[in-house]
Parts: sequence; C-alpha cells; structure tokens
Amino acid sequence: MYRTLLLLCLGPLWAWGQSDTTLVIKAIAGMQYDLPRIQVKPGSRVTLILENYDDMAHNLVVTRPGARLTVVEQALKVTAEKNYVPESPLVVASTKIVIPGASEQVTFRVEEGTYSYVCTYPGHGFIMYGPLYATSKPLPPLAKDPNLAPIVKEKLGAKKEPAHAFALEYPALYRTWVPGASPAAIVVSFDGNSSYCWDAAQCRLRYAWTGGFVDNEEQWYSKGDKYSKIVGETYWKEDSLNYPLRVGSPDHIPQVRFLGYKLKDRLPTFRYLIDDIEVHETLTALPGEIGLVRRFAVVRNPSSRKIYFHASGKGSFVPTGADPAGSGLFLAQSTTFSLAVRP
Amino acid sequence: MKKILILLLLTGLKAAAQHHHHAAAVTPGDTAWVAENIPLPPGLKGEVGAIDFLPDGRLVATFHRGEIYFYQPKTARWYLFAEGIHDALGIKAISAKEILVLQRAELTRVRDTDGDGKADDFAVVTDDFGMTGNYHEFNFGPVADAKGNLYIALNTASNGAGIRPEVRGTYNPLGRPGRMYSCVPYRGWVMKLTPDGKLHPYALGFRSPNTLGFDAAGRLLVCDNQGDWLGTSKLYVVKEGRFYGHPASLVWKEGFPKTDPLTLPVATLDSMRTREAVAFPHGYVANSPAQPVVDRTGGKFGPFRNQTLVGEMDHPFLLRVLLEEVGGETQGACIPLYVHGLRRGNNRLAFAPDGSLWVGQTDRGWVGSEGIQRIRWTGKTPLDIAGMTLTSKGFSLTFTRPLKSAPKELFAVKRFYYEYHREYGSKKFDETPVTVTGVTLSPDGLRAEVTLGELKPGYIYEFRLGDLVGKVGEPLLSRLACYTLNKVR
Repeated sequence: MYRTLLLLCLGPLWAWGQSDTTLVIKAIAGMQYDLPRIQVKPGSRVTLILENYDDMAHNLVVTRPGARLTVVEQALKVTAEKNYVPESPLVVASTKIVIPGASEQVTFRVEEGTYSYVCTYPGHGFIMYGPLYATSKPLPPLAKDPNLAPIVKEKLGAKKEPAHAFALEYPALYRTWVPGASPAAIVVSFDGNSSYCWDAAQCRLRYAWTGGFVDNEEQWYSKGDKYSKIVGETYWKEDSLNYPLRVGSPDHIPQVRFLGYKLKDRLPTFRYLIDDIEVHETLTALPGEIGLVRRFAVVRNPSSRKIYFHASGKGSFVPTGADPAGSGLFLAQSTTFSLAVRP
Repeated sequence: MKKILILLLLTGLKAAAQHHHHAAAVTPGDTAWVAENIPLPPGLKGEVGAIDFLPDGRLVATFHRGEIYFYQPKTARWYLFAEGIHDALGIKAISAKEILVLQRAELTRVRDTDGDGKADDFAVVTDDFGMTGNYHEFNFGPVADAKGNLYIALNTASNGAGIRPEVRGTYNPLGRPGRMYSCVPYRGWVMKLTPDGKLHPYALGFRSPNTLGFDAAGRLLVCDNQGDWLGTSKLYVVKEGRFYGHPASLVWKEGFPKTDPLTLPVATLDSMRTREAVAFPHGYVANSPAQPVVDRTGGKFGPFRNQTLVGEMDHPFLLRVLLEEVGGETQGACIPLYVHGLRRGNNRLAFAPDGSLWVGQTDRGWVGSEGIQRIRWTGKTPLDIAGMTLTSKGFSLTFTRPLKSAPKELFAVKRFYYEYHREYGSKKFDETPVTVTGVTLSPDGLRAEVTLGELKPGYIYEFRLGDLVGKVGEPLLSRLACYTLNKVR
C-alpha cells in the first residue's frame, strides 16, 4: 500500500485525471469473474471494485506480470485472517475476503505489461482469473487470447461439443427447469421438432412447441440457476385457471398426485391420480401437422365416478360426443378418451 | 483442461506435503493408497452426481446431464442405463434392474422391466417435499437403516438466486430471509421415509447436508458445509427431533411460533442446537466435506477397519473421522488420509466388493474436478494414527505400527474454536497453545498417552505431530489430528 502511495506521489500530477480508470468487476457463479480480461493505459491509476455475486467468498489479487501461479501457490500457505494474500512483492494489490453480497475496492498503479487479477481463496486461483493488460496496443481477439482463464475459453469455444456421449435419440425426455412450469417439469420431444412440457407437480400438459427441443447448456453450465431454453415457437399453452380433468361433477377439480412414467419405444406414458382415480396419459405427435394428441386411459376408478374433460382453448375431443355443459366440457364416455391439441 | 488437472494435482500434492510439519521426503504413506483414473465414455461430461455398487459388482453412476451408467470393472465397459434425470446427487442400487435415484423433484425408483438392460419405468417413491427452483435446493441420500427406513436430506436455498414464479409446496415467507433459506417444506431437514411410503420430518437445522451415511455403530452421520451459521464445516450425528443450528428450517417445526427464526437471539438458538460431533477446521482440513462411508472391507483397504471415511471437495485427500461417546453424546477427531494421485472434488465414495474405494468427482460451480477414480490399498501399512480417544487428562493416540519412541517435544497441541453466528464462516477464536505435560508410550509401542495442561470443553484440540518414527525408522504419515472437545470425561 505504501508503495502504491509512493508511486502515486511520484507520478506527474497532470496525468492523474486523464489516466484514472475505475472498473467494476463481479465475482459470479461458476468460479469466474464477469470480465474475461481488462485493458488499461500504461501508467494509469486503476481502481477495481470487486462485487461478489457468487454464493461463496472470494477476493481479488492483482499480480505482477507472469506471477499469478506463483502467488496462487504462495497463497496456499496463508491463513484466512490474512485473506489468503501472501506478503509478496509479486502482489500489486489485493482486496480482503469479500463475502457473498459484499464489495471491496483496491486502487493501484500499473506500468506497461500483462498483469493478472486472480482470486487466491484456496483452490480458486487455478480457475478464477483473467489478464489485466496495461498497454495501448490492440489486444488479440478474445477467442484467441491465450491468457484467458480456461473456463472463459471454454465458454468462447465456437465449436459446440455434443451434449452426451451418445447422439440423442428421439423421442427424448429431460427432467429440467424451464420457464412457465413448476420446478418438477418434464420436457419431451417426439422428433427434435415437435415438443411439449408436462408438469409432474400439477399432472398436466403446460405447453407445446415446434421447431426444436431444449437447449440445456445454461442450465447445465450454471449451478442450475438458469433455465433450459425452449428452442422453437410455442403453439399451445394451457389455460392455467382451468385444470382440464374434473371428477364427479363438471366443477370439481380433483387433487392430483404424480406416480411416475413408463417408456415404450422411448415415448413416456405418465401415471397419476386425480382424487382416487388412476389415469395414464400418453402424448403422440400429429403426423404431418403441428399438434399432438393426448390419450387418456382410466385404469382404476374405484367409485366409478364420472370424468369430465374441460377442453379450454383450441382442441378437439375424441370420440366426439355430447358436450353436456357446453363451452368445451366433455363427459368421458369410456375408460379411454383423447384430445387433439393444435395451434 | 488436462494440463489444468495435472497442475491441480501437482499443486495439490505439494499442498498436502506442506501440511506435514516437516516436509520430509516421500513417505511410505504416499504409496500406501494409490488412485487410478477410470476412463469415462468419450464425450461424457464427467460431473459425477452419485455412485454405488450393484450386487453383481458393477458400478452405477449418475452424471450431471442426466445419464445413469453402469460400469463393469472387469471389462472396463460402460452401459447406458437411463437418461433424462435431473441432478441426481444420491443413488441406492437395489439390483441390476432397480435403482433408487434422488433427483431434483423426487426420489424415483428406476427400473428395467423388460430386461433389455435399459430403464423403462420411473416411479415416484416420494416427492412429498417442496422445491422453489432455487439451484441450491439439492437433495441428498437415500441411506437405509437396519429397519428398512430411508433417510434423505434437503438443502436450503441460497440467496445467490431467488425462487421461481411457480414453486412446489406451501410457501412460507417467514423462511425466506437470510443467506440460506427455507421457504418451502422441509428445506434444511433430514427426512425419514418409512416402508409405508410416508415421508416424515426427522431432524432439522441443516444448511447444506451433503451428504448422509450410517457408520459402523449405526449412527446416522451428516456433513454440513461452512457458511452462514457454520463457522466451519461439520459432521453431525443425527437424532430424531433435534435441531443442528441453521435456523431457516425452524419454520417447518411443529409448534414453532409464527416468527422469522432469524429474529431469535443467537444465545437462544445456541441453547437449542445439538453440537457437531466433529468440526473440520476450514481451509486446511476441509472446505466442503462430502459423503461419509464405512470401511467394511475387513482389511482389504488397509488398517482402518470399520472406520468412517469422508470425501472432501477442495483437497486432494480424504478424511477419516474417529468417533466415541463421551457424556452421552458423540464427539471425535478428523485426520487426513493421503492418497497418491487423488484429484479434488471427492464428493461421492463407494466401496467395491473387491475392497477398493471408488470416488466420484465433480466441480459444478465450485472447486473440484471431474471423473471417477479408484483407490487401492497397496498392502503396505504405513505408520499412521490409528485411533484417538479422550482420557481424563488428555488423549490416547494409537498407531498402526509400533513407535520407536514418543518424546513429548514431538507433540504440538493447540486449541481454538469457531463462533456460532449468523455471519458467513468464522475466524478462529482464542487460539492458544496447550502444554503437553507428558507422553507415555505403551511397552508395545502402539499407544501414546498424552497428558495436557488443560482440557477445555467447546474447543477443537489440534495435534501436530513431528518426526515420530516407527521401530524400523519408518516415518509417520498423518501428522494432523483435530479433536472436537464438546465434553470432557
């Protein structure tokens, strides 16, 4: 710190205002800083404000050019009380340990060279860092920058690796987190093009889309806080106010309980209870058009209660029969019935 | 990536070596346990969720992207069993056709009903707990007791993220404040699933209970991670109805007043809680202790029969915990177990029928590594601490091989404690050297009775042993042992 002050005092007064740089850098989930690299003018006085958006503690240490690994190894011997920062001439500046949600700033001066900023919390320093270029020269393109942390390089990698050790076969199913459904959602694609989201917490079809399946990359890459992305266009969404199955009377919305699913030729059949009635539901693609068919089978109905289907939105009930209550409410005439869902 | 792993490995070994008081040359311990890498199917992202062994000797492993694989060690072949599972961090193999898997939304019975080697039926065993979609609501277990009950543990949510617009379970705003929170049931609890299929709240006060295991004495052990309300990482002996210190989960306790538990005075919470059996000093012993397993190999894995081993995420070593009953409660020591070639990220452990220990590694967003390693005992018994028990005047240390001598200058002891408070982690408080008043070695050289100037409950007693040698001059392997002294004899 004294050294920094000294440097500042020796610096030409007139240059201070022009070469001062203040940057906010965030520690984010996945052992990384949000800035992959930093460029400042040589001779400038730099203030870095570290804001910790992660759920674990971090610090930020600026190291002399080429000294990052050495400092990280030195830091392994340093206690938490000293913020895991070694007393070393290789350290240009350092914050204290910044707990989640807190922030801390450091100010230092740099001469021409490629410095590093790194978290020296034990183990982090091999992963969580970036180059700080004090130069007026142009930097290499980001994708080709050899000084970036591997985690950043991985993210920039233009070539997309296959998701699994096998080619995904269709129909395909993932339990994952998607928008517009509960955290117990299941997504299924018939063919990589026609897909739907069925919600195990609510035992109902939530929405259907066409043009692709899901992109799980962010969900997988993050700690899990990011959604899987729906790839394509949603053509149908449930009416969230109307649970479609009614038991006993057209107004009675049953309690639901998810029991599981069975795969046949990779296509799932969902099992669930509506009150005490066990229903199996299989969804199949409508060949040659956008849409799907929901087939219901009542496999157990101990009290032989009537089952109604409230076909809100666009849909067609099969077998076409009486619509006793009007407005899309059908009485299931047998233990199997189906409903086509179209845009 | 490979380069990084090697780098991590080298640095890790170096760091491990530095934990020895005197960084002696290679000790026999470095080759007493050796880790080998198990090659994964090309293209598989090797973030392991959980591992177990099938009765037929095959390994079963879950991976982050939803795969469940079987692995035949004899042929080194992998078989894809199931896909599409969400973050399964717990697994229990019943047979080659039936696996219990704890994923995000439920405990699922995954079965192959047509005998083609692939799972085709996924039945809910229980989903009777809440989830908000917060990423930190991990689920751990199941482990079974002798009566056929299963136990699972539910992680609290993290204020590193919010909750989804739709949640499962009753939302309770009183559980929402705080760094780690519990706004749906029963986050921060250990749950008991009885054979009738009902899930019962069992014990509470957990933050990140990764993960559970029964020890050889039938005690239910749970590790919990340093953070808010945990000054350092801990191992608990879990008993029904008890509260273990992280307050958020109190909102789901029957009869608990309708109040935000964070408004209670710390002293009140402190008086309610059951202390940990073992505290793992943060940074150099453990940052994130993981799965406890028992060495039931009957000597195939070395001299530590029936002892409990614990995985550790941030270090390239495992931990041994030595527990005993003092004053009606369990307490004890932790000791690093050095393994040559071990990576970090040692989240999941399972013993194979041949007595080798398999390790599933992950680094999802935190420190660690990826892949599976198999640890074999080479058959050489290193000179090591075998046991550590409390006496009325100090500690009794037993060794795997006879010591040549036990001069008291080679026993350095200090004590300190970590604070129980709302803040994230804790520094060490009242760190004080403890005078070793005497060391008496038994005639067979296997037991050293260490008497101390004082024994103060509520402190961790940290032993650092110097260059003790065995009868044939062999050096001591583990030199660090930390005993959590809740009660004196």
